[in-house]
Amino acid sequence: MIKIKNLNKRFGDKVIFQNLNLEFEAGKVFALIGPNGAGKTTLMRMILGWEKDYEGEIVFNGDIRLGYSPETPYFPEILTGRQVLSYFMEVRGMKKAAYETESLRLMDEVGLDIKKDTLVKNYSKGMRQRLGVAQALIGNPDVILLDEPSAGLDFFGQQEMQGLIGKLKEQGKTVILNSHLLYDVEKVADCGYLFINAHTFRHFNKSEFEKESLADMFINTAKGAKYESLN
Amino acid sequence: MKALIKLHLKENLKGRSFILFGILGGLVSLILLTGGLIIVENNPTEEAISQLGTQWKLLSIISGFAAVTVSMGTIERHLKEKRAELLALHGLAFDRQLFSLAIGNSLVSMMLSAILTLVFVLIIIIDQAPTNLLGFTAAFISYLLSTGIVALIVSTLNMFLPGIVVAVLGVFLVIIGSFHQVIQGMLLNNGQLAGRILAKIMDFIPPLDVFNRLTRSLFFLEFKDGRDLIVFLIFIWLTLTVVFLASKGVSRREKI
Amino acid sequence: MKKYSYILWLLIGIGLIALLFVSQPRLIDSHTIDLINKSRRLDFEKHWPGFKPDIYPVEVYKRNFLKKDSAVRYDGKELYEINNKTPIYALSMDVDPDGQAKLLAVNARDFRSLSDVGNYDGSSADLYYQAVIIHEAFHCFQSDQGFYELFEKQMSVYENSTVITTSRKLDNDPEYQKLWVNEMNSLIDYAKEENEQNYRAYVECYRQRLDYLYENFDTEDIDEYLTYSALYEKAEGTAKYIENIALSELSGKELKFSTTGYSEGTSKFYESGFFKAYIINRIEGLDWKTDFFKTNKTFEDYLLKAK
Repeated sequence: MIKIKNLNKRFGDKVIFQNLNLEFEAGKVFALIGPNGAGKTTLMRMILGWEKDYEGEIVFNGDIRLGYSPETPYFPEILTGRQVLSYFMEVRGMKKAAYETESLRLMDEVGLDIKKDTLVKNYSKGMRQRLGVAQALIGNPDVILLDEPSAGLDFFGQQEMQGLIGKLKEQGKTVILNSHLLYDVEKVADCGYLFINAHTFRHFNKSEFEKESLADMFINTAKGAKYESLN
Repeated sequence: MKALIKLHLKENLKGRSFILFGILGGLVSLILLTGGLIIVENNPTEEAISQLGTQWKLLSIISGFAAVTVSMGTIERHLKEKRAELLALHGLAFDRQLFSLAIGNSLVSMMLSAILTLVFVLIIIIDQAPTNLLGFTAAFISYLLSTGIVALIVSTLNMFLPGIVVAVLGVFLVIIGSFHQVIQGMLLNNGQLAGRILAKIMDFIPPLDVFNRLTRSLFFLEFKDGRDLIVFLIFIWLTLTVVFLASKGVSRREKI
Repeated sequence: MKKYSYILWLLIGIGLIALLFVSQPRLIDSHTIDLINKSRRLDFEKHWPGFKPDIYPVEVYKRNFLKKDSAVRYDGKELYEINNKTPIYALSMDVDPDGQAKLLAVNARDFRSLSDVGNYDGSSADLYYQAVIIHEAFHCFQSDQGFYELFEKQMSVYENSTVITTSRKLDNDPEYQKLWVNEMNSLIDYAKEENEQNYRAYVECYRQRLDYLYENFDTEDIDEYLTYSALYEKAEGTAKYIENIALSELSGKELKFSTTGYSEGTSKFYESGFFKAYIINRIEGLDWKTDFFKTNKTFEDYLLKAK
């Protein structure tokens, strides 16, 4: 669905990606994991087209619609959750009758139907994240990119988010998830990519982290990277 | 664009500022009504006309400051709060976002300016000022538009400069603009080369006093000077063009 | 569609700028010429014999957008542009090297901007413009009488004398300001109604002010200051008198006498000189005016001997 070919990216002297090749197939939940500064968010921004300064190719298989929920989504505080969705729909040029019903449907979809008329400023962190996902679902996207959707959520909040991602997968969506919460990733991801640095990255899939926990995989790969860099 | 402008109005038009401006405008109008008038000896202007004229002048200066307050940090905030990227993802290009915000700022400023005149309008009606509905409407529109011009310029400056710097520049813009012709006259009168060059540069600063003169002449039904109107229209055109081009330029710089 | 709207927008701008250029007067706008002509046509024979405003040419400052600013000279018949020297942006007078006194002016539109502080309406600003033209023409007349040169010369002497410091001291002296305002009010009463009581009241105020000056300051300094202020009143007070008469005739309204209080610097002498010229005119008729500028006489020479 999305192919990344020979991608090179640097910030000043720091090389982020060197000759990176990877692929996101349709209908799967992908996780991007790795330490801070490894380039996970940068990769998302490249896919979204906001980061244009790189070498290489990002190839989309046909006309793919993208949805995105940022780590700390900004929503106008003076609007209710439902009005936020209506606002983005209106920006997209949807007619009033259409966004009235669609916003209701999406609020329901992310489990915020009972809070639909509550002002965003009174939303908890978890509710904001769910509203972020609802916002990402506007326009029925094929690929949904979620940047740290469970960050700062309590256990129940995390579980709710896992459920929501599971639901998206059931609907056949491709989800690209950027997360530090490895336990969370193990619950929802089908596969993913682990980035340590520009030279060390690996693909993993469910069968692998069912045998070796993602935490162990992370540590071992990082150790290897250290060994490599020492040599 | 419409959705963003609507939201911008909703976010900025708080009931509190409406009340504040209503009171402020009322106070100014009432103080002037009770005699805080500039007296010029043997001024052949009727006192009532002189008084109403002073009202227009003062209200337009205050509304200029209001426009600066409303607009000074909005674009900066928009960029800082990362509102731009999500909007871009939903199809509103970044340059159009900036343009919408500038237009939104000018609409908010115009609404506050309108509130400023509430008591003044009452005085006009009660005092049966020498005008008619058409004259008043035309004057009112030109008064609002000149406030809108200030808001657009301040918004444009905020695309490049931080809010605090923009606030200072904005205040200068209003003061220099409100006494544009007198200051330009002083520079020309000074006769030095530097003065003459500065006077030429001032041609590009909106002459708010000329716009105000247009407002007053429309109000007093004595509009004759077509050139005032042309200068006014040129500045509206020029400001909108600058906002449009600056939005394009900044969207390239920010690469959104 | 988008492309067409850009082109349309561009065309609107070009159209507006073109309109600005087309509407620009070639030399001076007809409205300004009209006002200058009207003021030049006013007859002052019954107010100041010998003063004829139409004999002085006017140089109007012309602002040019893409080239250097110039002056346009108007002698009542023809207009011609002077490009070879830097024009002066002012309402004033000057004397050509050949001795011809001339008026310096800005156009009526610029004048309205400059006089806007008083919130004149359009027609009042036009009237005031004409009156100021007359004011400057009167300075030209003073120049023809040989007075203006004397005035200018004396003023340059005063610039380096104690007058400036005395003047500053008085501007910061509340007691003196009170005495000055009292005298102005007595002059206003006297101007409004000429009778013995008002005359005595004025003389009393005048004496009180003089006594205060001599009691509190150095005699030489005060002598010099009084000569200076009398000269200033003579130059500007008479011009203000003529200006106010012009304004009254043009507007059809009676002359008003009011004071704006004590003003610092020299602007108060315009006001006081105007009151005095008006009163002397009522008492003495026209005769005193014939040689007023040719002698060293001051307003007080006429005012105080009148009764």
